[in-house]
Amino acid sequence: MPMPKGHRSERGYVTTETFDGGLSYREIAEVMSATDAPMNHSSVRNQMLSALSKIADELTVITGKRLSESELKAVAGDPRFQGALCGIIRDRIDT
Amino acid sequence: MKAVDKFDWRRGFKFSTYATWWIRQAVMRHVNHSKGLVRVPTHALTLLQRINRETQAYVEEFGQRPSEEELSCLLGVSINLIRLSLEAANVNVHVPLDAKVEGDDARTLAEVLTDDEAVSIDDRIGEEQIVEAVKRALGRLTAREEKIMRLRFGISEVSDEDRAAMRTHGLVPTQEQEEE
Repeated sequence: MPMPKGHRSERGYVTTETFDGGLSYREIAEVMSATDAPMNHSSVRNQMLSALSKIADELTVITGKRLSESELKAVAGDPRFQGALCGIIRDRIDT
Repeated sequence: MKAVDKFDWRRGFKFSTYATWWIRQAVMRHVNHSKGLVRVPTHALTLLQRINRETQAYVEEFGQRPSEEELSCLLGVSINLIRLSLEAANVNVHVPLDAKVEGDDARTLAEVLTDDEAVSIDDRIGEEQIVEAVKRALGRLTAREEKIMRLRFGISEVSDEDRAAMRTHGLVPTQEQEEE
């Protein structure tokens, strides 16, 4: 039986280059460990995806169609969603 | 051809210098005469170009458009001529918005023309809805989630307090270590 090939995202991946001036999960883990609670990069990613899922959930209210947990996670991890959200927060909210 | 006929070698200029001027004038004349429905005389267009140049320079220097009197002084022509030139320029570009649409007497141009640069009402409402939804969702985040998101998106930089705490925990080199 051949070895599994692993997952390859169809929409690319989010990197620190996606957000100008943004930190990597490992860098954020260092900041959070020193100032808030001990965290590793994985916990940071989980927290980030949880936050993004909450936002994606709120946005589905506009479309009138509620998404399942797994669908919300898929939207939250989409680099296009994260890039657009970052732009909205920077340009329209955090000004 | 005009350049060749009129070129006088005794004046000591290169032919190319002389020809360029004539070519430029011929092209400008053709462009001026082929645009617009009403033909405006070349001398009026030349004056109009001078008015535009002076207006542009005036706006750059003073931040406002010059009055007709000021243009008259700057260009050394009468106010009446300035006024006529500006009116002639408007003949080519202005169509009354309340004119009836051809073949549809019930509607005016103002009712049927679209502004290509305007954001449609649907898009604007959609955009506002999204911004409001994001604001609501941000209010639901825990303090930790918000901090992580800010750091990830590069909205907040690492504060001096955070940096000091990281140094205490040995997560970043101290200033002395950095200097070494």
